[in-house]
Amino acid sequence: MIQHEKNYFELLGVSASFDLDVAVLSENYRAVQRALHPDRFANSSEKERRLSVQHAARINDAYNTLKSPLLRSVYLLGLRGVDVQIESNANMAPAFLMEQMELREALDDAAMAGSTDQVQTLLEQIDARERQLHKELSAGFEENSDAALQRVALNVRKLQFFSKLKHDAEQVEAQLDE
Amino acid sequence: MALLQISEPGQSAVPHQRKLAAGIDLGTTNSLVASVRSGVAETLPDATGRHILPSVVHYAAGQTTVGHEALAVAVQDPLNTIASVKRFMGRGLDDVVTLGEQPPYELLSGESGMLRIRTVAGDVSPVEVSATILNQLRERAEQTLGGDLVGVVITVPAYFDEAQRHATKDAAKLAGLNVLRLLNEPTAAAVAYGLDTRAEGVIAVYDLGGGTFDISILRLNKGVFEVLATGGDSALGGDDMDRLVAQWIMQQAGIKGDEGHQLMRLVLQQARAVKEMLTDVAVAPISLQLAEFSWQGELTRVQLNQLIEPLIKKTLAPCRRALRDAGVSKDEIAEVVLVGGSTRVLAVREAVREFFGRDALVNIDPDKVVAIGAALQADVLVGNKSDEEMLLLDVIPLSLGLETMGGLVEKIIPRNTTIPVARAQEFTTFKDGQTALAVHVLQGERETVGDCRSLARFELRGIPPMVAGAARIRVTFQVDADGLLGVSAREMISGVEASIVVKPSYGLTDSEIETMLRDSFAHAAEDMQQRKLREQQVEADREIEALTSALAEDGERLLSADERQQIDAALAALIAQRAGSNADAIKAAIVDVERVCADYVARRMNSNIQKALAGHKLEEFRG
Repeated sequence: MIQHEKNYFELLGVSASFDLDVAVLSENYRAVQRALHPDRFANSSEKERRLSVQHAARINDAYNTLKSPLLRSVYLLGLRGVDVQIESNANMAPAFLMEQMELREALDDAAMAGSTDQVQTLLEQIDARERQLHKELSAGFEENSDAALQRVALNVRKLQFFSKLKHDAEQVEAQLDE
Repeated sequence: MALLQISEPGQSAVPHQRKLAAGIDLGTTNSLVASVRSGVAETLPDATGRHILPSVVHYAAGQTTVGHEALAVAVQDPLNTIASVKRFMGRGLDDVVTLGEQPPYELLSGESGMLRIRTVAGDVSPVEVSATILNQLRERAEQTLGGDLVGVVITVPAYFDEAQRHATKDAAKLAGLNVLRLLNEPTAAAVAYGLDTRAEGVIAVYDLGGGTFDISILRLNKGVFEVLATGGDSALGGDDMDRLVAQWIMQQAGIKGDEGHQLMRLVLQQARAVKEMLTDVAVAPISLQLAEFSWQGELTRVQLNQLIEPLIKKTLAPCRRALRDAGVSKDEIAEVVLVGGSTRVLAVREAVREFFGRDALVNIDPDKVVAIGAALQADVLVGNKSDEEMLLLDVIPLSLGLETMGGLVEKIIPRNTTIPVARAQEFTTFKDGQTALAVHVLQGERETVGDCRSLARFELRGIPPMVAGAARIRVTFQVDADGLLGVSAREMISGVEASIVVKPSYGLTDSEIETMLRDSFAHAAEDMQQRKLREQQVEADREIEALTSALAEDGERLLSADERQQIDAALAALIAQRAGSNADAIKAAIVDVERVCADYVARRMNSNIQKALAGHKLEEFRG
């Protein structure tokens, strides 16, 4: 009997907001896992062991979602009834797409040059842009009007582009390493 | 003589009785068993006071020897002396050839592609060889501790894949052990180290053993050991250093490599010996003396360092990757812990020091630390510890995914995801009227099927014919706390389902295990019926104890008088059956208790969550 009626924020005892206190989130996560983790039930009945695995998996998912600004935003928008259309809506402004192309070219150049320093510089650039987007997300969630939430959804899609780029840049860095 | 214990009237002695549990480090080169006694975790010695059991098994007609005795005859009888078998766990002959392994004994391919080793006592699988080692450790523990082990924790390299983990569990089953948990070796080391020093913060565990390399980054926080990332190479270790030194010796001594198994074994032994000596001295002598061959030489530490430099370099890329995955920079690392015999090599220590920019901790014996951590965890799991104790949050080392169109791999659970975990993804059909879907489960980081390890295939059949893209097939991956995977698939519109517990291709089938158990040493005298009875008794004891202590804790609070009465009756029936010797009746009584308790168990679980959060400050709700 998993508590599907409880959302991730409630499960981990934090308020359903974008600006959550990550330290409190982590502390609550550890407290809940202490009570639910399968290690607690190694000696219990088969049924309890199974329940514990299911609960612990859900708690892990909740924590994993809430600690990431991107996943947290998507989840929070969902709770407020907004679909981010993260896969389906690729309708981005030309200027944004141009920026992405330039960053990707910079990554290709770094890979060709075999320069981890260049990749590092690019990663720092991505971090800066992500932080900027996080601020806008925070403001949009705070405002909470329909228009503001649509803006949040757009920014989440932007964040998704950066997240993929970051992943690819880290892949390149890893390859240069080996 | 020990005094007999008498419990207070009306109180069961069972919950207070200390249960026997052990931690086992099943290593490539050496194995150890440890247990918590009088509050202290320590490795258990054999009758002659030796703690380390060399992971070597010698097969002779009618007699199998393990450990030091087996190692002693390795040069005389190389073909029947099996060492470093851990490298072959969960592997097929093809894998081993690809890895460039050339053990000094004969390998062949068994049924279902599983690798086997030819000996005078018949062909044996790596699982059986490992079971023989585990059995020896079990006997040692049971003699030392004076009773049957209730359960054990066995350590595996964090970077072990699904097949290797299954093989290890199979070996334990064959040795008659109840595995409470497979624990990752670096995590075990972190536990031993963390509980010993009460350290807090982020630590790195660099674990270079005989055949495997792991790097784990953990956060220690008030008894919680949270693995942030792990990485490594499950085929890189001290053995590879030995092989490089051996090649160098052969070159120097003019040995071609086809001069017989005895000489090869001797060269390998000498290679290891000089490598070990060079930790303490700058130059070490080498002496090869056999009836038909004789050679003398020496190796310097500088030469050794040159020989093994590429291997040491190979450990640093996973270190960088683990740091990246953990999102932690080098200067956030509070402490570096060295584990595994191969970290005694000075060049390794130097490389680690240079990489992390600090001296590593070596104050715990790198050979024993893993077994000790496993013993601490076993003690907790078996229920000997009270409430305020440690908790381990581990991760999966390799990404898990599915084959999609064009031979590509769609990742379902990325590496370094905390376990247990369940993730689902929806797929659809490719053709009109398609009624079946092949599910191919893979493990690894690469994008294409050929570059990942194939774990299992199964089919979802009976999908009602629909146009392409209309069916909605939800595939769910679930990884348990041992890091083992189960996969299920369900067509959401029709409700058609299929699922499997992933059993990798080089594992044993359940019937193979059954057969082996029937023939095996651990159960020679005990027939299957008795074994079944014992299993049910253990399960019954577990159920009785868990329920009794649960009822004492919150039975009053969570149950109505009526519910309580039902549960008490079912429990009493189970206790009565437990005293008898009918396995099926015990099983039925267990099922009955579980049925009656289903609601209660769920209520308890929810109440646990509430309690866990109640003690903590909830984030204040913003206006």
